Amino acid sequence: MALNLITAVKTAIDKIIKINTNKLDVSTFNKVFCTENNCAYTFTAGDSNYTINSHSLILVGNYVRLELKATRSSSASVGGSSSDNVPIGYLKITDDRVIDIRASTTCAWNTGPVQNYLLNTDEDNIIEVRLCGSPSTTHVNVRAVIPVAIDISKY
Amino acid sequence: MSVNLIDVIKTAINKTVNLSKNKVNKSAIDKLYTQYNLTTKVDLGSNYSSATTTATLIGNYLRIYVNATRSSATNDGNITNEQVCTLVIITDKILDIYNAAGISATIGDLANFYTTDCIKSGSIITIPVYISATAGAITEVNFYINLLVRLNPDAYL
Repeated sequence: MALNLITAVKTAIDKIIKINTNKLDVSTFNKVFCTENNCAYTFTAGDSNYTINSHSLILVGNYVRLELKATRSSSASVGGSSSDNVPIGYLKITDDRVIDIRASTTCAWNTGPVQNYLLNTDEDNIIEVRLCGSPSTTHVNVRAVIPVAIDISKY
Repeated sequence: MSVNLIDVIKTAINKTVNLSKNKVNKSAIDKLYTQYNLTTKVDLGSNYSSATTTATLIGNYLRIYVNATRSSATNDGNITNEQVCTLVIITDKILDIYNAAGISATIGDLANFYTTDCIKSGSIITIPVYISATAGAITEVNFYINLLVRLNPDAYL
């Protein structure tokens, strides 16, 4: 009888442990949603018209945030033209916490002219940053928030 | 025998309690995916006569909607870096906020907006909102800006 009781208690406890093991840790919750995580990445320059001045990438929750500053060697044409529609650069996220990336659009900040950007992704999850519309300008200031899928187990 | 049984139960229960201590409750996840409408206060920029705004928080995203009226229409492309308003939001759910840019929502108008120098002091967040540029004559300013935020764990766990 005592042995049966021990087995029953053990089974019940094991069940509870299993349930709790599959729950999210408080520290993981903090790291994912409440912490600014440095995100490993590389940024490669695109078209020769652009000089990349600075870039940074952080990971918070299900989003990465890109800040990019670049300069064009010559002004883009008003309204854009096919020769202006070239990649500014390529962002490759190498952080193993990020497992998938979604395309996004954004616009310029603090530059003067209206500029819109496309952040397109390919099969290798490389984000191509491209000016998609602009009047005459040489400065490119991008602030973009891009949705990503994350691997919780890597935090 | 009964002493052994009590020891087994005690050990197992302690193990379970310790495991549970560091786990997130379902309510934290529910809170994370709940939409919170935050109270906002607007201080108008000098060229604006009125404004209404809303601010909603879902997960790590704070979405701000602004509808403001300019005292006179802009000319085509002649507005750069003009302050529309400063928003004040009071919440204990946000630890930090990241500036962002957005585009106009009014049909027919083309303008870009951005926030800069957001300040978080205690539970008060101050968000200056600017037009970065226009490409058309605009009187009604109407847009959404999505800001990435870091959440305050004390408000969720």
